[in-house]
Amino acid sequence: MRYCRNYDLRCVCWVAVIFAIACGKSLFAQDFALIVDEAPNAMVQNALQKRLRMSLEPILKVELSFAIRAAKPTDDQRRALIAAAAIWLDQFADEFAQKKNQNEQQMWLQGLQQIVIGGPPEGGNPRTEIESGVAKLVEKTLPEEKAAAYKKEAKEREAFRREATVDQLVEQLDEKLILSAEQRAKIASSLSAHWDSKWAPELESFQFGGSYFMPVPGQWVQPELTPAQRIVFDRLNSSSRQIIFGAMALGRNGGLIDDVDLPAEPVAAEPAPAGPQPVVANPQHDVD
Amino acid sequence: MKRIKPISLVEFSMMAIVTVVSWIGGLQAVTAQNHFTLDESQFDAWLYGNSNRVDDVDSQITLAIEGVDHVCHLTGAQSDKLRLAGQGDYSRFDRQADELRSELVGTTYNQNEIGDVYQKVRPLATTYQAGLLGRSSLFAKVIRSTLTPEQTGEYAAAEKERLKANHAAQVKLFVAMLERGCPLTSAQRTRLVELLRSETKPALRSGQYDQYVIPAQCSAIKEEKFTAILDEAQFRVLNKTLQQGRGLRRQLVQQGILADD
Repeated sequence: MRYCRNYDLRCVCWVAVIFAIACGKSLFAQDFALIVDEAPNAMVQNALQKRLRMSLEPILKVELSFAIRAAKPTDDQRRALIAAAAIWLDQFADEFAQKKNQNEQQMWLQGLQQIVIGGPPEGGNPRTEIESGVAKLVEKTLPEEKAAAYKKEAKEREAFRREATVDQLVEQLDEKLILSAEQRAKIASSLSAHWDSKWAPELESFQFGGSYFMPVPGQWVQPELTPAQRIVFDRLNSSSRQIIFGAMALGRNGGLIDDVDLPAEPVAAEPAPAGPQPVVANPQHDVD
Repeated sequence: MKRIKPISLVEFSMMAIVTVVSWIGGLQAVTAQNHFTLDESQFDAWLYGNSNRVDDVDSQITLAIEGVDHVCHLTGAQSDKLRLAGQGDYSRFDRQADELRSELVGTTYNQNEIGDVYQKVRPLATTYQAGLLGRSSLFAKVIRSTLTPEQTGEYAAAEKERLKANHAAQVKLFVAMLERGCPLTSAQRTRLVELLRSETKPALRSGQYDQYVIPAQCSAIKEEKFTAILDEAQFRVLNKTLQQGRGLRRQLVQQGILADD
């Protein structure tokens, strides 16, 4: 056709067609995204909640096992505690899933294989949340003296973790700054006195053989350092970041105790005596 | 012969451009998949790890000298000798790093060669990450030859104390990490810490393998000593760690971190 032989016009047509395709594709993509986003959101949430429950359940079992060792409840009290914990876990997994941003949701869906360097995770640390969740359940379901026994043990465990973390921070500083015995003692006492879980690194951070320098609040360390130590400390501390652990923080790199049987599906908080009962595997012998 | 229409020529040119561009892109992708050009930043990442290159060498040397001075009160002449030795250690390392850099950086390697290249960098990286003023350094040799017998005794005692503190810290970390999966009562925790402190020894030197020192030695402790503290479910969890530790001991002895006894 004659008009098709027109050089300029065909060029313009070519460009217009490409432009139209690109725009169309983009518009279609938006429409498609709108359609797709709505329905699978529920699916993603559902999958995420299932994945969370699966990942968090072993941690809950460890904490229940701790509570049982600490409080020494009767069989009925144990059953009530475990049943309440199973219900709590479902609610917690649901709320926890909602608090996660898209990146974190993806991390959980993929089994938390990543280790992230940066600030604290959105929606809190699951281990801490589970520990405080179980503490509330213990208080609700167990008699006062048993709850007090658990509280005392939990407090001592926390103090030990803190001590272990402070010691590791001091070792990390000693490795890099060659501290004197006096400096080590003063820094340890300063960090303990000003302890705050917001800056405290996870214990897992110290399993990298000093590859990562964990940030330490300078104000509690610098007064004890010499000028040369301060220069090196400032350089290391300014470029360091906290590490958030994926599966490793959930204990999947080591063994996890498995002596509490949680029901697969939530059951009533106070199960009927004749109905199916969650079973607690008793420790072979209670030590202390 | 048919004459090529001008319009077809333009179309042909555009198609050719598209084809060439995509071909170049594809070629690059193939090259990227199968080959690897080692650049400066990758070389530095391998060599210095996460700790990055130390720029303030003087501060590093000063604090190493201060570390000795705290314990044995060095004279001016002793400090000068140590400073020179420290500078020598850093210069020697930089020379070795530069030689390796000029040999390896800027060259393209195939997939089979990358591993060998990394292995070439590794010994120097290990030296750097262990600290350039460590036990095998010129700095350490000058300490040994410069200090008086009295100062040497004080320095050795301080080093022993440092390793003891490190050992205590590693025991606590081991127990605290065990508790991530194996709940302990306060009494059990205390007894386990005591057991590990008495049955394991401090490392001969501290450093990047610190966290393996306790698991490696735990595997040699008699099972009954653990089962006197832990119940069966707890021991099952600990036992996994003990099994992992069995292979570690020999490696740590070979590295000179644990004594062979």
